[in-house]
This record gives sequence, C-alpha cells and structure tokens, in this order.
Amino acid sequence: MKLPPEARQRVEAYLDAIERVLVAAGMPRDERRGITDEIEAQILEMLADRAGFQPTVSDVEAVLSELDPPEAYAEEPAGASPAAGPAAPPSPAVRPHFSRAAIAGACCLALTFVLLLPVLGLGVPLVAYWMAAVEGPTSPDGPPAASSAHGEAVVGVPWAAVIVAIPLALALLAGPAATTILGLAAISHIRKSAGRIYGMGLALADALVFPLLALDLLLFVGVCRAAAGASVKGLIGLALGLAAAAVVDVVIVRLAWRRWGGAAGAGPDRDDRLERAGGRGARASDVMP
Amino acid sequence: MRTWVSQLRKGLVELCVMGALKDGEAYGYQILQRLGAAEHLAVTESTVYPILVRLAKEELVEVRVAPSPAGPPRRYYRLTDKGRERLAEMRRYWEDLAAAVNALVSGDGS
Repeated sequence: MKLPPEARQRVEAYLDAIERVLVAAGMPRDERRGITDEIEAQILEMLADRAGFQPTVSDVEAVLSELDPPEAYAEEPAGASPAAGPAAPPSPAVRPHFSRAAIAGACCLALTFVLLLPVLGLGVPLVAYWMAAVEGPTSPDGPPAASSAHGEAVVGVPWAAVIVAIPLALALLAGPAATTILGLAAISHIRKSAGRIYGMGLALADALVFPLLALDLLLFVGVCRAAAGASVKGLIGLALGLAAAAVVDVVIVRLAWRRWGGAAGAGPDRDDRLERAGGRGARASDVMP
Repeated sequence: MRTWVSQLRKGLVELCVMGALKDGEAYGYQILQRLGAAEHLAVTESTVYPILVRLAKEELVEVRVAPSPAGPPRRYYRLTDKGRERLAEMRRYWEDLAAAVNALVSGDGS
C-alpha cells in the first residue's frame, strides 16, 4: 500500500503521539514498539478495508478518528473510567507542546556561553592586574605597592570594569545551575505529562551538559596526572584524558537516553516501516521479544 | 461509564484476550475484532495491544510474523503451554467467582 506523503505524516504524527504517552508512562522501548507496530498494522488494515490500496488523506483521517486518542494509552488513574469506544480527539487545551522548561534551559545554556566572552575579556585583565598588584615590588617602608605587570606604579583600581565584571561573573556562575535545574524540571514535566509535553532530547541536553563538562574536566585532569605519574609522554596522556572523558560522556548519555529516551528515537524506524508498507516479508527484528 | 463497571471489565480483558486465542492463532486486529463482537465488553485497541505485548513478554503467548497484503507484516499470537495453563486457571477462577456472585446477587446462596 502506498500512502500519499500527507497521509503518511498524519499516521506518523498519531503514532508519535502514542509513543510519547508510552514513554511518559515509563514503558520499555521493546514494548512501545510492539504496541505502535500493532496500531500501525491496524491502521493499514482498516485503510485497506476502506479504500483498497489507494487511500487518501481523508481516508486516513476517517480511520484515525475511529481510533482511541493517544491519551488513552496513558496508565489509567485509579478509579478513572476508560473510554468505552472511540473517544473524542484531544481538545486544543491538551494538545502536545514542546517543554517550556527545556527551552528556557537551552536559553540559559546559550546565555552562559554568550557571557563567557565578556567575562573572560574583563576578568582576565582584572586578574592580571590583581596578580601584578600582589606580586609587585615591595616598598621598603610598608605593604606591597600596587604596580602594573611592567613594574610601573598603578594609579587606581579600574572600578568600572570591576562593577561590570562582577554581575557578569555571577550570571556566568548561575547559568550552569539554572540550565541543569531547568533540564531536570523539564524531564520531570515530560515524564508526568502523559505525552502532552515533549522535547526529551533538549531536556536531557540541558540537564547533562554542565555536569558532564565538570566530570570531563575532572577525568581529563585525573587521567593526565596519572599518565604523567606513569611517565607516559605528554601527548599520549592528553589523548588518554580526552578518550576517557569521551567514553564516559557517551556511556552516560546513552544510559540517560535509554532511561528517559523520547519518541524521536523511534521515528526513523517507523518511517522505514511505513515506507515498507506493501506487504513485503517479515524481518527477524520484527519478531517481538 | 460507571467506575465499578470499568474496573470489573478491565480485570476481565486479559482473560478475554487469552480466550480469543484458545482456538488458534490470530493477529492483533483480528483479536480486537473478536473481542469487539462481544457486546458488553467494549474494549478498544488502547487496552488490547498493551495486554498482548505484556502476555508475549510473560511468554503466555508466542508471536509468529507473516507477510500481510495490507501493509507491514502481521503478528500472529498463539497461546503457549504456559498460556493454556494460565487460561485454564483463570477460567476456573472466573467460573467459581461468577457462580459465587450469582448466588449472592440472585438470592440462591442459601
């Protein structure tokens, strides 16, 4: 059966919405795939019954309107009454939307990197100034005199730069914390939303980027020092440090994605299946566990 | 629908899904149609498919994949020996329960 592109998009959007609900319900990937495969097969069976092998967009819409809404796949709360038959489509108020917390987290992430340049631009000269003042030539009659890096007497502290740099530095320090907290909040919202909120990929990126950077730094320094202690050549030590950080990043990201992975991960598989929708033979991977 | 009806029906769906397979294998949509023929059961795909997937995971049913003229391969479900044992057990329990409840509500319990 060949679905027109627009009709295929409708089917994919419906299956993706169900996938998101199942992800939010904490269902493992193999079970989610088993369910969405069955629904997809049912949709195509219903289309074949209704319109033969040339279904139109309106046929797809008619079939989808006979099916349960994606929300019906959420775990039923205690005492709730399930739909007895084809339920009404979701109201605009509960239409799925992208996680706002994840977007805010991404904004914080971007802002942090934007702030990095002015803070470095102001901070490095200020630190150099302070170092020069501390390490400058000592007056024989009193405490160390402030001086520039070239030894000349320093006329005064550049207060304007300090006043600008301190709030920027504070904002730079707050950025990673805000990004991580917003990412964690977004993950929690998405998991509890029963498919009404999506954007797990961005939420995970927000939550993990700074903790992973911190971990990478620790690992890199630790491995490099250990390599130096073991008399490993400098470049090899650096490479080992980078490799250790990269491996740990990949492992953590994969674990996090498996644990909370969004429906996006199943998208290409479904595209393939819909492309194959023509009754070709079964694959070994199509057998459920 | 009243809450007690939905709760009672929910508990029976698993028994009915397995019962729909007692005479042989069937694919997902076919099982749904068999269950849909039962007037008061009123189950839909959002109830049946998760149960089928769970039953497969618990090895109460096994799955055979075969090509379909309508599109993607069909998954044919069939009760395993373990599934048949479970179905027999569930059916006995249901019959005992139904008899006890009937006796109570119809006043024939004495």
